This record gives sequence, structure tokens and C-alpha cells, in this order.
Amino acid sequence: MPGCATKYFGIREYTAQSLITMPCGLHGFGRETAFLLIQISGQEPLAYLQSVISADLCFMALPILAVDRTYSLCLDEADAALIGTTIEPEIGRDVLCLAILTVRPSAVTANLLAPVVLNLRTRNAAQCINMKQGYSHQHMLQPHREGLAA
Amino acid sequence: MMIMRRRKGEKILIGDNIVIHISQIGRNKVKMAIQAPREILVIAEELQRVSLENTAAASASASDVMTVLSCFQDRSAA
Repeated sequence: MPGCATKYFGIREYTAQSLITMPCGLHGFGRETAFLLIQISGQEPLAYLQSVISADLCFMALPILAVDRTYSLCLDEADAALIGTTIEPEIGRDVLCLAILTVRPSAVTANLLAPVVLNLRTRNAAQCINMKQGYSHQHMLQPHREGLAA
Repeated sequence: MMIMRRRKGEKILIGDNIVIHISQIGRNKVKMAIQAPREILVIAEELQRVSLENTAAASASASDVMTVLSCFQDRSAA
């Protein structure tokens, strides 16, 4: 079984089925075209998107419905074709949809504007811009205690 | 800021070597063909916003992971 050097978890073994292929990478990280989706028991629903190419590149992410239960996904035709799905796939059935998290000095934010959308059948994924609903790329998840106290 | 009205098929020139061609106008969308030198970055504004956000997200440290995990603990405790 091949191993992948990770940012937070040392070397992790993985199978081909646990690989995610992102033909275009992530925005700003176009060369990062293969990721592992890592979920740690006891840390659900938090997930990690670990680059297979760069050990020091790992994103924290949440299933988008854990951030916004009413989230509505609408892809443009090019993104839908890239990952082999329809423009309005059903989250959970057709695709896994993850919001990347950013830790800021006063809060944790989730990127609802550009979720990572993974075709559950083909394991192909893309970071898709969801412009239809006016979602924010800095949706506030939870203020830090320190931030609240400041 | 300059405001210019253009119809389908018309062009806008910026400097000597950038041409914007209005190729299609829909109800809520405009399709443009942009001709610019390779060294000029042409990018949709929202893509730049997302790229910067990804860069910020990628800079997380192990202590940031603990911060995120504590958010969930706070939520489940609430």
C-alpha cells in the first residue's frame, strides 16, 4: 500500500480508492492535482484535504451541509463536465461538497463561494465557484473565545 | 472610473495591446474575448478572491487545527 507524507499525521497509507483527482487543482494551487480525503475518528465532521504532491499542503474542510443546511449547489457547465456530473447534483447522493476552512485571528470562516465538489462515483473533483446564491468566501463559522473577549 | 456603452460585436481598446471584444450579451451575462500580452494576468475577480482565500487556508498550523476542533467542542457543549 503506498504511503503519503502528510502535514499533520506523519506518513499515511492509502488505497487508490481514497485518492481524489483534481484535474485543475485548487484555485491558486493548479499543480496540486491529487489529494487524500482524511477523516479522523472523533474529529467528525472535520475532514482534511491532504495534497499527495506536497506534504506541507493540507486544508481543513467541512461538509457544506454541516455549515449551512440549506446550501444550494449550482455548477457551471464547464465544472460539471470536468467532474462528470450535472449542473445541480444532489449533495450526498451524487457529490460530496466540502467547504474549506480558514482560521483568522478572530474567527474561523468557511468558503461557501467555492466549495470542493467531488463526484462520488469517479472520485474526480474541482473547486467550483457557486455564484448563483451569492455565498461568501468568508462565511463566519464560530467566533474564537479570544476574539469575543477582545 | 470610466463607463462605456458597447454593443455585441464591438471592441474596447486598453493601451496599445489589450483588446476586449464583446462577443455575446445575454440577460445577466456578457461574454468577452480578451486579447492581452502573456505577462498581463487576466482573471475573474472572484477567482482571485478564492485564490487568496485558499492561500490563507493553506497557511494553517497545528494550533489552528486545535482552534477548529475547539469550535466543535464549544458547539456540542452549547
